[in-house]
Amino acid sequence: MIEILQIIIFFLIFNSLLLFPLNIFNQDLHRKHFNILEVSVLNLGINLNILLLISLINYPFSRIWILIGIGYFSVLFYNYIRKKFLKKILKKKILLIPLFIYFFIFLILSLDISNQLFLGWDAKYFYYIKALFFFDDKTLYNLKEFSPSQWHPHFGSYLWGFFWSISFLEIEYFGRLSYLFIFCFSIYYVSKLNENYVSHLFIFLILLILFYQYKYFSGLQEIILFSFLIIISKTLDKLSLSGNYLFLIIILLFNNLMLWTKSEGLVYLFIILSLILLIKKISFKYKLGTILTLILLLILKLSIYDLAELNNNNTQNMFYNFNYLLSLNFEILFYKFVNILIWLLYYIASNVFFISFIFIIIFDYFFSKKNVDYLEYEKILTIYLISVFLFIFSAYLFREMEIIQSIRTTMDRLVMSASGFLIYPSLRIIKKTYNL
Amino acid sequence: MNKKKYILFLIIPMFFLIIKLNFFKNLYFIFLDSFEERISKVYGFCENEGIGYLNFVKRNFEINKKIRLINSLKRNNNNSGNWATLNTKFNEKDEVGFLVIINNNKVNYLIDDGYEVIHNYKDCYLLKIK
Repeated sequence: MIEILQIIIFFLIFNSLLLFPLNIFNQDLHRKHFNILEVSVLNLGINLNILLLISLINYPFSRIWILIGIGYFSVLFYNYIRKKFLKKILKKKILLIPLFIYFFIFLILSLDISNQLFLGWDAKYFYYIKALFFFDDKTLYNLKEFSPSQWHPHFGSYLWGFFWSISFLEIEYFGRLSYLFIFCFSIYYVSKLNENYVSHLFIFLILLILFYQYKYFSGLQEIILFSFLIIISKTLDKLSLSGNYLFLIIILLFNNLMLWTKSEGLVYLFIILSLILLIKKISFKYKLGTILTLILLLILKLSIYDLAELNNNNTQNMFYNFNYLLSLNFEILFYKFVNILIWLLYYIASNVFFISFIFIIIFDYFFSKKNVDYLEYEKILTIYLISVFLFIFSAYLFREMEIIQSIRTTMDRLVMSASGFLIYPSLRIIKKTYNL
Repeated sequence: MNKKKYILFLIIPMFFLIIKLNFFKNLYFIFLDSFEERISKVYGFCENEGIGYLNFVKRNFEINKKIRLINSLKRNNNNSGNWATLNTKFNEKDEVGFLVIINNNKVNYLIDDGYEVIHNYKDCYLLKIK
């Protein structure tokens, strides 16, 4: 019973991350074509970045949590209770029904996690242990005591350890519920195609049924990248249609989080940057600002990891090094290429979103009319797909490791995280075709 | 579409999700079993990886040195159980002070004078290295 109560409390805590620092009912934002859901996404991005900043401080969370708690409730109080927004929320039944269904779905999935409990391989050997460091009140600068820490960025483990430590039962899986929350919210965000909340919830449920598997929540970090890519994909489209720079801020916030979550985050950073540069409605000044911001974020990450002695140059050199590149000949490259191609096709066919996207895009290519906005978005999609395929091929072609083992242990997860970006375009095409 | 049809529209996928994820079974077990019991079901108490027994000894005995876990599973890269022995108070280079052996009837680990048996349950042991 007490675990159920803890799940409910966590649901409320997670959702409060959507409610501040910006008031989701802020009329000024709504006038800028920024609806409740989009303000919530911006809030989530800000709050996760605040958590990231806290994780970079060499000061254990337990010593500053009172300060953070007070600040957090002051902002919530100022935003909602003082201005009587709480009454407005309760009066709006239209908000309560989706919220109740959303909560019930979160409960169903949480209970699945609370019973299955096993951890994935990478989670056991990297992420769980790093989360344990944060749970035990250690900081980023203590991670060097655990040598495999150098393999992966820390933010996913920090989320895990942070929420694990604030659960009064101090049970490990409560930390992983943060991944579930980010996943559920990103699916909820992408499911909204129009103002009809029934169709919104229906799409939300169908996407969950199609995709949810416990293994993605077994402590692996790909689900976080997947969720962030869902958010970025939809926001990119909003940005290309409206040119509203608040959408650019959302993209930069989540891009930054990806950088600190997985090594692939760096690749996605450059892919997303190239997609932003394609958008015509963004002025040169903002494009330049975006490039500089992302370079600064990258330098910040490298500097902090250098300071924390977590620079992974040596570990990465094990798999990617110049001597190995020189030793590659046509025969080896061809053998690797064929294997990568076969397995990539297999994993694409096994991924519900990737394969659906391909069918939808083929259908769309032959049967639908296109307008100018759509053509720009199509260009964004094409560049994304080419970049992802180039990334996958080069990652395996130039990796010094037995190719089949290398592919079979990681490629499914690479394809899975990349597929997050494709959910929104698929829904967009369906919406356009059926006038939803 | 009227209101009832709308509700039906949502109930069908929700019902499907409830069935697919064994909602009622999960609810039953979260009420019936503690977290430790559920972990033991997944990883085994005095069997398989033996994480249940390991957690039991960590909770009930004063463990002031590193633990090493030995289980009887045919070794692959995912069943050593070592991930669960880690304690952030100790460094990687610190020496091991305790051994947890799961299913010693299969492992046949020689428990000689160099060890003190702190606890045993069936053929699982917590040993202190003298």
